[in-house]
Amino acid sequence: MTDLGSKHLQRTIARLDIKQDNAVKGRCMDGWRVIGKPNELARSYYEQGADELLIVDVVASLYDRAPRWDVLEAATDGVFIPVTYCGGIRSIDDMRQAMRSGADKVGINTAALLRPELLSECAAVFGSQAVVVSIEAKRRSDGSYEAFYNSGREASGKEVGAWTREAVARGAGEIVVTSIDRDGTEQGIDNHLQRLVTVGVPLLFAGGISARFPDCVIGA
Amino acid sequence: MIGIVDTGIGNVLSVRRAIAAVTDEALGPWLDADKLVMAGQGSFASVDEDTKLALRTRINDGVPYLGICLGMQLLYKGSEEAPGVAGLGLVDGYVCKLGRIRMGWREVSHGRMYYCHGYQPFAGNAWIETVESGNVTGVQFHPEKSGKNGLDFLRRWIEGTR
Repeated sequence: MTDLGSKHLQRTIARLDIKQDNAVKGRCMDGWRVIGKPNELARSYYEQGADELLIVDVVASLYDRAPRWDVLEAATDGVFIPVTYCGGIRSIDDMRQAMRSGADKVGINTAALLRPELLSECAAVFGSQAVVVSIEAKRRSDGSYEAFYNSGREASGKEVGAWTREAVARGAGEIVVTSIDRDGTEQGIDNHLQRLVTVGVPLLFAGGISARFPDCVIGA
Repeated sequence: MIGIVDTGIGNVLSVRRAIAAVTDEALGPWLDADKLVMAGQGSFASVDEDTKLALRTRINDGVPYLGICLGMQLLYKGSEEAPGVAGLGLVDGYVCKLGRIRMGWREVSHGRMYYCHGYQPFAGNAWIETVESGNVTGVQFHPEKSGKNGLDFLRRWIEGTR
């Protein structure tokens, strides 16, 4: 995963997808296979020099269950780089609990699409720098992009560029974008999508990137 | 005993783990501690008045204080993030909004450190990265999340306050 927002602060972010208490790797946000234990991988990414860690519970929203705080707490032990947690966050209390379980920033996708005010409410308490909007983008046949939720299963009807700007206006301080079409394919970044979500706040881009870590994100 | 000021908000577990990793000193309730650390990742308005009052008393009593990010910003008299909300006003300056949220790593005198903030103290025509005044230390970076450099910084602060 790569950070593309500001050139002088480019970050390499390792992404760790979790399902139940396993680390998993999927393709196009499906067919997740187990690749190891979250804490072993998280520590290994930290020791290999990752700048940040992004932990995503890929099924919390999909299965409509609470985040696995125990898994997050275990995964982040001994990892002294920033950790962003995404998956099943629905309230200010959830965000507070995520930080009490080892997260430093918290990403929201499904709950923000269903109730965008949640982003403003969280920013008022934690500050925008701790509130990340996570966006799952899928290309439509007409070439535009639509924001999806529930692990890429449900279409929101929102166009990705407009939703990105709305989320930032509501208080999100960072954007994590996953290209559903390229997730796990190593086909490279979707440049058109990247331009669409570059709106002047720090940006993490996932999906299609092949780099140092199994699931690398580019960020800035 | 080291106390982490816990307002219910912020990345408190990250700070607790980093401190536990660099010292054998016990961690305990902050109101009784002889060293205080305050975490960031909260808004300027998220710290209640009772906490600020108790914090001011403890700092005025001479207890060494390390403020990280918001913990540093709270030392100033106010912030553009929450107009009308009073800070502690223990050092000169005001917390102002950055043109753009700063998220990432920068090389500073203590080594390469991680930053994550949309506001920063401003005083004497300059942005303030770190502040030291008597028993008070403030840093805008996150030592608890800056790998070995950050852990080294925390160890030096703890050892320097013995």
